Amino acid sequence: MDSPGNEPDPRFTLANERTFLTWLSTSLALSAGGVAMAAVSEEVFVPWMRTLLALTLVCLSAMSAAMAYPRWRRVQRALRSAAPLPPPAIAPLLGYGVAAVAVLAMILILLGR
Amino acid sequence: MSPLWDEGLQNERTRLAWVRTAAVLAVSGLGAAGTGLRIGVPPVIVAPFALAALCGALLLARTGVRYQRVQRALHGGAPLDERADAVIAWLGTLAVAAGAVLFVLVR
Repeated sequence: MDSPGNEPDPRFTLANERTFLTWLSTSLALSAGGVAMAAVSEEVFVPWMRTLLALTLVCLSAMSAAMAYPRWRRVQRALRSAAPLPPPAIAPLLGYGVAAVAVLAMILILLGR
Repeated sequence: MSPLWDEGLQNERTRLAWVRTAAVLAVSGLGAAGTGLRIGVPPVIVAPFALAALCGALLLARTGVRYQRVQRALHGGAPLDERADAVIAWLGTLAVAAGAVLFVLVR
């Protein structure tokens, strides 16, 4: 309870909590993707490309994880004071980032290296 | 306080979201730490994954307690906003992300 205001509808408090958990799950999935990408053998992808793709994924993962908790608190404060909700922070970056990694990986697979 | 207290099964859905996240945390932490130990990854990388597995296990163990508390709060109209579990989940996820970054960098 970090700011004055009315206790929000419990449905919204719990929805906010689930959104926070979904950001964490997303981050965990991206970490798994990054580790998997880094672990594939050198015959599949050129090493520097593999590292680049893996690094992109784990950086996106770290960013989603890092912003999840502050954003959860910010949304809760906004609910409490009936203020507009903050925009979904890094969602677009996440979308474009994952899409870029997928397209690059596909091109590498099609080119055979 | 809203008169309608849980018609959308909010608490149950939230509980399942917690179970999903905690299970992924525990399994990925355990899997990565275990594999890391087997293939001889430096301990500095294994440690964050082990911490994440611990956080996941702790959250799974607390699932029922958290559900009951929310249920009571909803029935009694008490305020809802608990941070302890969220901090544990956040810590575990940050540990996994840090472990993943380190793994990619030393690889």
